[in-house]
Amino acid sequence: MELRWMVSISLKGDKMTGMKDLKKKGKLKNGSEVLLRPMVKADRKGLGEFFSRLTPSVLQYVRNDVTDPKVLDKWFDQLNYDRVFPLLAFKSDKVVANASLHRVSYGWRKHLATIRIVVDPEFHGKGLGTLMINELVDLAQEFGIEKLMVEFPLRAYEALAMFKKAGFSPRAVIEGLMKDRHGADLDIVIMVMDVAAYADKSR
Amino acid sequence: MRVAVLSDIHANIDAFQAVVGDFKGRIDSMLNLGDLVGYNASPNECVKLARDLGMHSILGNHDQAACNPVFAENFNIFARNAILWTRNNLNHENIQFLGGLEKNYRLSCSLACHGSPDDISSYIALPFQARATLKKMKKGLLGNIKICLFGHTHKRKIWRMDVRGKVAPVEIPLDGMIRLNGDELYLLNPGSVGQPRNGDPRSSYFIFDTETNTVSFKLVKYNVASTIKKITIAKLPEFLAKRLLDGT
Repeated sequence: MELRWMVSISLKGDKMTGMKDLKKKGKLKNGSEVLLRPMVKADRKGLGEFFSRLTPSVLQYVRNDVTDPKVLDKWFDQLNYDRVFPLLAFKSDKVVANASLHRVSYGWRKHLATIRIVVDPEFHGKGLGTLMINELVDLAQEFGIEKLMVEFPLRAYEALAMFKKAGFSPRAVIEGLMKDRHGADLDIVIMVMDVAAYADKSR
Repeated sequence: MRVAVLSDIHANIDAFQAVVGDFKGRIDSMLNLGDLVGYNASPNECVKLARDLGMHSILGNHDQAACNPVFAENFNIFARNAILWTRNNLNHENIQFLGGLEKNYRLSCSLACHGSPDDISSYIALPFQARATLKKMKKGLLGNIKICLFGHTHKRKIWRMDVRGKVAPVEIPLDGMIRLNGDELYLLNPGSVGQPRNGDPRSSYFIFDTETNTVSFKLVKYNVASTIKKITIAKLPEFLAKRLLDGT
């Protein structure tokens, strides 16, 4: 306990590399570059602008009402990387994708994390989603997470292909579980991956 | 011959010194299964100690990336940040030393590697991965070996293929000592000295006695606070310091 207390004090200073400094360039299919880095408090405005550019047809699958400023304020106020690790992609300083790794620190789900991702439609089909997912999978390996899970509408064929490419496989389809914004039933697919299997570069 | 087998020291000089102190005078030789550097803040000190001790080292993926940052392109943002810091802080002599390391090493009836015998970045973590390597051993594709010593996962582990070809993990006894059956094939991982991920913050290694065919797993306490202080001073990511407290 004493050591933990001492460490929490020593880590409070901003001398160590902050999340904003942890950045990495990624290449899209067309050869252009994007910057990936963890979301930090200073990204509140950029993330708000990103969500405001998205159409209702894209936003309907986002779990929270991100058009409500209070929702985003809460995200930034409660930023806790041990619980949710949010990753942003930037193109010319503009947020073009938001992906996150959601963890539970105790109990029967401790080894498991879920992924959520929203990509600017302008960047669909360019490999940005795959880039973000691959980074989250690598981070999951680093965090000691054994399995990753994602759920989305079965008819989102592009997402299905993207997650398959990243190493996920469909494990269940639940018919009519969700509804779209017009009230029509939606089938949901649940995809899972073993993180250590993905990390095997020899496969 | 009694061999101290260490892996994934990862620039943690406090842990490395504690482990050396633990086996000092009780072994005939030392083997390091790779990743002397990366993540933590004492790369030069760790390379120097390994060299001074005459420890036989093989190449790990972080050692490789420290020598040539092209290999760090696929690292996640934490590992990449740390390896670029390592590259900037390693002296020329130590970079040369790491660059000269081999990927595999033959020791008696065993083969040492970092990730797997085929690839330093591959993992042996799941049954299908263990089975693939053990099958190659059984077919003689890796030479005439009974044991493969590996690291990379930072988790101590024993996989066994019995005479019928069945592959299963073997539980490590509480006293850490296990006698290997000469008719069976084994994959042995000593865990990590510098960044354990078994949920126990103590450094992990084992002593392999090639004459009695026994392996003794050891857990060693070290000064975690000192290592965290070094990470803080080096301005490396906070996450790399915090994880040492829990061994995750």
